[in-house]
Amino acid sequence: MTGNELRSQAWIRPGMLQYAAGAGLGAAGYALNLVPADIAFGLSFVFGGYFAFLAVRLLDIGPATLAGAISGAAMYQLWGHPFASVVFALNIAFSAWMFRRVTRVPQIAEVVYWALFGVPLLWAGYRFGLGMNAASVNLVVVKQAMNTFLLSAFASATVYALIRVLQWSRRSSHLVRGRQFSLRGFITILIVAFTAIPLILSVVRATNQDQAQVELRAATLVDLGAAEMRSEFARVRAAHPLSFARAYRDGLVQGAPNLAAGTADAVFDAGAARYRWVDGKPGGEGRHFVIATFNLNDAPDATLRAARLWLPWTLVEREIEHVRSLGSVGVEPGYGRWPRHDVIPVSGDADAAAQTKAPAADAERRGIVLPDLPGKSLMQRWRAGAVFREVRFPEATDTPFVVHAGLAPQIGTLETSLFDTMLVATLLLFATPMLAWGLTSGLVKSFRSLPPRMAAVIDGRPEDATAERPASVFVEVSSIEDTMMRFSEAIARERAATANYRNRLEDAMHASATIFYTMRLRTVDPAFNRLARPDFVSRSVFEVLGYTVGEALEPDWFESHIHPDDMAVLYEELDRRDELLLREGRWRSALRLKNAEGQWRWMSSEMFLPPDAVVDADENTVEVIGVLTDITERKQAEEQMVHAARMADLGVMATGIAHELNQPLDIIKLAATNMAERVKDDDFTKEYVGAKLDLIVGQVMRAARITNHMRLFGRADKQPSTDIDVVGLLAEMSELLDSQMIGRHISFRLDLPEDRPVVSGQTNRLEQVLLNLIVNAMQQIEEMREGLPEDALRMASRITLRVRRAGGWVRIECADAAGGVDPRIADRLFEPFVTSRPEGKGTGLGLSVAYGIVKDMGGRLSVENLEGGATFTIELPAADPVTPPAREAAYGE
Amino acid sequence: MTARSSFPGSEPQVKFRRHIPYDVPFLLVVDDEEFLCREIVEYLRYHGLAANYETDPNEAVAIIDRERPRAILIDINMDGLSGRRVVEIVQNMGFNGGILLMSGDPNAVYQANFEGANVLHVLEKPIPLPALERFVRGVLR
Repeated sequence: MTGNELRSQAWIRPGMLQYAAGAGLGAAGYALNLVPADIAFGLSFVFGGYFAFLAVRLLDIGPATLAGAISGAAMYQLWGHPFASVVFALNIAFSAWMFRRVTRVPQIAEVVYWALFGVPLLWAGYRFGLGMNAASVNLVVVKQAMNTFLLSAFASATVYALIRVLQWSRRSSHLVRGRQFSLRGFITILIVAFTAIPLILSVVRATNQDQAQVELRAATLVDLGAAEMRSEFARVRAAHPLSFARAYRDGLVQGAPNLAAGTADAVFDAGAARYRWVDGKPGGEGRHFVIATFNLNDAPDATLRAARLWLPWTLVEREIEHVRSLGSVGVEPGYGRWPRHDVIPVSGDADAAAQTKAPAADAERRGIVLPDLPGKSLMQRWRAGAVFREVRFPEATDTPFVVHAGLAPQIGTLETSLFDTMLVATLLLFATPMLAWGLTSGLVKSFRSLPPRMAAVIDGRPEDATAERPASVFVEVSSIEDTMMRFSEAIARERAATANYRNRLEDAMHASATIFYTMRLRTVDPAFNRLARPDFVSRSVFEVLGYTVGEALEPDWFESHIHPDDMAVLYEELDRRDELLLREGRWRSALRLKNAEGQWRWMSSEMFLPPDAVVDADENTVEVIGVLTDITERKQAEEQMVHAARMADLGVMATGIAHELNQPLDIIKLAATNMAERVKDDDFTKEYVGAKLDLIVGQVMRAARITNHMRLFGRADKQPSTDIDVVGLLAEMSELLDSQMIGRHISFRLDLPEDRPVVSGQTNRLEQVLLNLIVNAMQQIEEMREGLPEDALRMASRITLRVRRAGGWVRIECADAAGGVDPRIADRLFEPFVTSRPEGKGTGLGLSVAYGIVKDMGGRLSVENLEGGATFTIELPAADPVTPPAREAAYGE
Repeated sequence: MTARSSFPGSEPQVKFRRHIPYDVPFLLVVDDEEFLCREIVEYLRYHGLAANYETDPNEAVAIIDRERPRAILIDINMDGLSGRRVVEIVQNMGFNGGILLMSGDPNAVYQANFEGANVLHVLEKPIPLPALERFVRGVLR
């Protein structure tokens, strides 16, 4: 069982029960969303969201999403647009997925959701779908993000508390054992609750003020006396059964239930309400549309200040339709073209409509255009009173209607410090849980509900992991405690074990069979690096090579102890070394050093540029770490393995080689017999004997070539690296191979390029690789063609060796048509002892050795199944990347 | 594309040359090793036997069909067409002369004997020329 599978287990059993629970929680959320529970500064919808987040914690992804969709539907019903509902359902689905699959901290899921999806979706929906102005949308988005974050925290706290209560109710000893863990979790909850929540509420209040303070700046508002106000209110109420005023008064408008009957009167009495006429004047008939606006900052008490105009879209639209149906002229046609921050140019002046034919200029003349502050920050615009909530109602007719409700310059009543607080709160809101998380590692654990199976695996009881899950959630909750305790203990043990890690590492460094050293290399003028000397050499140089540290640090020690052949190679590589070190941070080579007893030891030489290496700016040097490891035994073993593989290939070819040698011997014998017959009969000429002797000498040379080739190929000693003419090498090899192929009835083709590419390396090594590939192909063909019909047999019995140039590389392909490599072992084909042959028929060494040889030559060996067979490709760096001479010139023809 | 035979030093193929009157029974030696063919034919001719040779097994099939030698001595391992395949073809064509197989590969000889190739004898190289001469003499008689 994987970790994901473990974590995906929810508390309630999967299936219909989960969906039923999801539906139940969703229904609860839906119902509570409709309840006008404006508990604190507009924290409406709190219960709906809370239940949805409870579902996230308790249920699987699908059921939780169902709960979110159901509870979010209430918003659609209330507001009449689907944005909030869709975004909320998506939010719950994502949170549930994150919680089950990625993280056990729902708040992290919230942050990720809002960063990735919530902010862009909600912003786009409100800005483009509803046409709200950008500044207002920003506020809404921030508020919504914080709302859900808070609700998620509430839900987590509830579940956590539930666990505690369950444990206490069971008198569980885990409570005692888990004290430290519990304390941490509790502290975390406290931090979230008492730090973040008040800050969130401050932000919410700020946004509510944005909604509540309506158009004080607009000089178009008409101040009416309380009596007139009351009268107008009554008239509108009577005229428009579903007017704002009535809806507001009756508490139908979600979030504004406090203005029950009588409360509105109190507002009017306080002079805190104003009416605005879109067109017409107070008491006018049929030509006006009224929005009641309340200057709630002037309201007499806190209860009223808490109330605000929350515009429900459906009601607004209905009201507009109603006004239109009354035949109201409504608004002037030009409004739709006005700048974004324009206000509605209405006033008590009867000529207002006539004066606003040139709306923008007229509005400016009357000083009612609010400052537009392009390029200014949200805070600056807020402070200047230019942040507006804009509600735009698209019109099919020529009478676009725009309602602006926003903050006015008299924003002084909205303390600037409050906005500052809001920004700080926004930061702290997200930072606080993270901080708490970091400070108390128990936070993460406290939110995690690891099932007992994971604990079983950790404890080394895998058989228990497959046992049936405990039926009771209580058992599982208790075992979470156990698991966490075991985690804590394991971590403590690990810390204790690594307490003296550094000291032990240094001891190990000095005592190991590896020599460590440090050296400063120049980052400029790398040519000087040839003269670089180690600054430090570990004491293990004595164990490994028999020298003291002092000796190893002497000047010229390295030069006087390195094998002369390797010295030349090393000097050739030094430039590449510096480049690799500075670019990739690592360089590796192998060389021979003479030990104190005068024996050559193979050493693997590696140099590293530490990740935190700092270049000395004064001297342009950087310190690198070098490691020398004695690999003599490994080298010897490798050599033996290479030799063994080579001998194995030769063994496969022995019969063919014997045949190849027999041919010239046969001819020699026949020629000698013929000559002897003539001599015996005294029936010969000088020319005849001369021709026979020439023939015999020619055949002896032929046999000698074969034996020489075999001798060179078979010897184990290391040849120097030279330029290899690939075409020439294949030509020589074909002498050996032809008889093999003929004897095995295999068609052997060489497909060679016009030029003669050259690679660098040891000839017998490359030959070994080629021979191994060919022998493999031969064997494969012989094994697979048994029982094949003749045509198929002919098709299968062919091997093609193809040589091509590809950029700076030389590609040598060995292709057969013998069925290809078994896909089951294709990935491991170049590992030692991997073979597809029947037991006893293959050592499994050949290809791994070939792979190593090609890699040592700086190339690659790969295989793919093509055209019914396997194609092995050797890619080697060309030693003559410049365009070579034409074929004729190369052959000297 | 370059075939194997394009290498410098590869020998030109020698075609069957008629030395023998049509009514004289003769032995055809078929081996892709020309020097070997020449030495065998030289020995047999020196001892008064009619013999000829061909290095290309496909051409050899055509010659056998056309010239009807009394017997053929044919190498098992040849490039292009194996000796055993040649035997199979000519027997299907109705050739009923004597057939001798030869090979330098002991495994091939063993296999041919083991599988009971429908031939007079399977010889292992190096060919014992005196024995071959007696044998051929008997067949051509």
